[in-house]
Amino acid sequence: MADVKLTKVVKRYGDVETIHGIDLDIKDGEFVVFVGPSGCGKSTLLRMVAGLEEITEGELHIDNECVTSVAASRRGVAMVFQSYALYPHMTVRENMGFGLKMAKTDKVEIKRRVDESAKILQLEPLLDRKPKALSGGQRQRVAIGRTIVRNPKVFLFDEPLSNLDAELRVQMRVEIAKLHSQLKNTMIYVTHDQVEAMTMADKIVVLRGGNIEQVGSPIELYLNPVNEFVAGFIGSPRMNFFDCDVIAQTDDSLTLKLPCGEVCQLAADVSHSPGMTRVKLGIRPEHLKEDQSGEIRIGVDVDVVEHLGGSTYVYARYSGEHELIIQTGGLSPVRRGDHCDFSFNLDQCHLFDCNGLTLRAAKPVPLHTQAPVAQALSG
Amino acid sequence: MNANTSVNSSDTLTVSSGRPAETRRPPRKRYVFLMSAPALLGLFMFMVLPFLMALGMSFTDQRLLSPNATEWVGLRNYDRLLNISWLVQEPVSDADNHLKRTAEGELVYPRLRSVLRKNPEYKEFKEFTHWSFGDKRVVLLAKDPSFIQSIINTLLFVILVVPIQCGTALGLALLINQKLRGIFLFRTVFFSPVVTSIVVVSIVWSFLYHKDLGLFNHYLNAMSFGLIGPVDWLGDPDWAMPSIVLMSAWQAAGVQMLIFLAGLQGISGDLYEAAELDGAGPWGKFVNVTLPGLKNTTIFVVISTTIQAFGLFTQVDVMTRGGPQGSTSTVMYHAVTKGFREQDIAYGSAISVIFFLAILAIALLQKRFFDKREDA
Repeated sequence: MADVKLTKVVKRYGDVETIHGIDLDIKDGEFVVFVGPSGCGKSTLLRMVAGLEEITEGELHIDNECVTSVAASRRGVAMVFQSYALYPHMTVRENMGFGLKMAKTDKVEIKRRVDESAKILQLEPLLDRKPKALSGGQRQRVAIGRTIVRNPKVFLFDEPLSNLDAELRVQMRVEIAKLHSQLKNTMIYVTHDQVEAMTMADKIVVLRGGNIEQVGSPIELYLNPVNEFVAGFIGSPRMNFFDCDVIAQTDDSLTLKLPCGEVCQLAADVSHSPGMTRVKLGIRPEHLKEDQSGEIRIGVDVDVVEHLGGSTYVYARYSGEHELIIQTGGLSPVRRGDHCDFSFNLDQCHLFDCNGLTLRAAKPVPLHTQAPVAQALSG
Repeated sequence: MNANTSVNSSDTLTVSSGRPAETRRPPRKRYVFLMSAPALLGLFMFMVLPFLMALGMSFTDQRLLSPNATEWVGLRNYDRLLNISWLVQEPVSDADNHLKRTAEGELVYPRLRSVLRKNPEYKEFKEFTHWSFGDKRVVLLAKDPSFIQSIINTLLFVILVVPIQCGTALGLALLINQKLRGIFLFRTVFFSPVVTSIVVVSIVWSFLYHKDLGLFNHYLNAMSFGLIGPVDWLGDPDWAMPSIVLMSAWQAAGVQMLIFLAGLQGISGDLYEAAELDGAGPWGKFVNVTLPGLKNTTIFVVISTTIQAFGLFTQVDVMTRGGPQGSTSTVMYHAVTKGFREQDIAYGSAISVIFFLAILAIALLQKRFFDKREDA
């Protein structure tokens, strides 16, 4: 059980700096997910916590102890790799007990702990097999078992589900979440899949280009993204953005001209950014309605319709050029090639300035109408 | 086999495209044969035919230059090669039943030559070696003792050179697998003996090994402050073979090094990181990740090195000419000596047939081993 604290952590390879001074507090027992696009530094950050990458500058504390230059094996961390990294010539039992064997633990104790972890993950029938004779899901389970055996302060997961098929991924996601509630250890999990992040995390850290964009609970990130990047990254399908001209501006409101020509007024605290000419308006696909009950109506040309059964994704163009995704509940009657009207409410719009910073976030939807949000979160 | 497979697949293709094979293209079979003809011809002329000729000659008494007509002799050459016998001799005693002794106090035995001559059973046999058991003396006899000596020398060479060469190769591969600046320079340097002619290497090393002028003796002398005297590396029967072993391992390790390097680069980096997190030190990682990861590579390297080592010839021919006292003569060297220098080509052929069978047996063992592994 341990807190993890990163202070001004920097990573440089020669002259190239990839992590630019990251500060992060992870509380004991938290499930933290690092998420971001490829090359954002999330894996590097995790590997720095693990001790597999040197920390160029800054400090890392685990359990209030400075471990910046402590060897990986003595930091009290255990890691699950994307490739599983099981020793091919060892049986499942030997794989799981290897860390303890290296630590010269008593054989009886190793057996007891391996059996105990195998029970948690239902690996008992596989203990005498070699990794080659296991399926992808089983291998991943062994890799997780190997970390449990060592009883680490912090569990690290580096994209552990990327090599699994979709169904197994969902299943393992649930299992890892269960494991966390059972073991209550601190866990850090790296993924590029925002659905994994949303479903598993107590706290999400969104990274881009070696910087933290935002830290918060999944719902916080969904409702109050600090900038256009986070707004676009969190939520599936991704948020729709339109460029709008600013017609008039007061300290607490903006009058905008939408691409279709319609003019509307939105409340926003813009006292700190006077004289704007253009802003970005963001609206999530699940907040666009098929009926005409919303305040703003837009006409779109439908390109592709995806029926998922429980919901329908409509890929369309708005005003000829702006691409747009609409998520409707149930089976939509809309067809490819249709021209139809959708509507949305202004209080569900996000506004971003020309630098992508949030000017205003959408109002939380009242609980009884929050179904689409829950749906989006469950992936 | 391959040709058949490709023919079949092309037939299928032609059928599926709905075009009769005869109309447009020359038949594939003829094409395949035509294309592979030069290589097959070369293989036949320089490999298959000489081997068949050697096999045929090994049953005759053909000599390179001889006025006599060649005659069929059956298995005589093989008998001469492989026939081994022994006899037990009692010590000679005088009239009072006392054992005779030499001035040095050693027991006296009947003269071996007269014993062998008297007994038609031991015709053509010569002494290979002898041991004492109590008062008795056991003499091991062979029709061609120097062939038996050559087999033993060759086995000794293989047993010594394989571990040294493979170990050196693995060590070098580990070194050049480091991510350091200019590492390619080391790769080139370590590989350069391989691309140097073995004859040149042998001559250069003959100088290095020279008793009076050689660099090795100078270094040994300097480093031991004159305590270790000049060693006659190539002239001393005890040192000659180890000296050749050392040079051969140095010269050929580069090839195995490259194979090991490829094997090393095939081991996933994640495994090393997992081992590091599991608390394994450099030795722990080597034993638990590197060695198991190189298992297949090692099997291949060991077997191919063994086969190569059995063919030892050039170093011996250039550096020691089989000496001193036959201590570095090898099967290959013996075959060439007998077949060409002594012009007994039939006997030389018999040696090479035996040698071929030995190598074939090793190759088949290797194949069986790998096949089994693939099944597993």
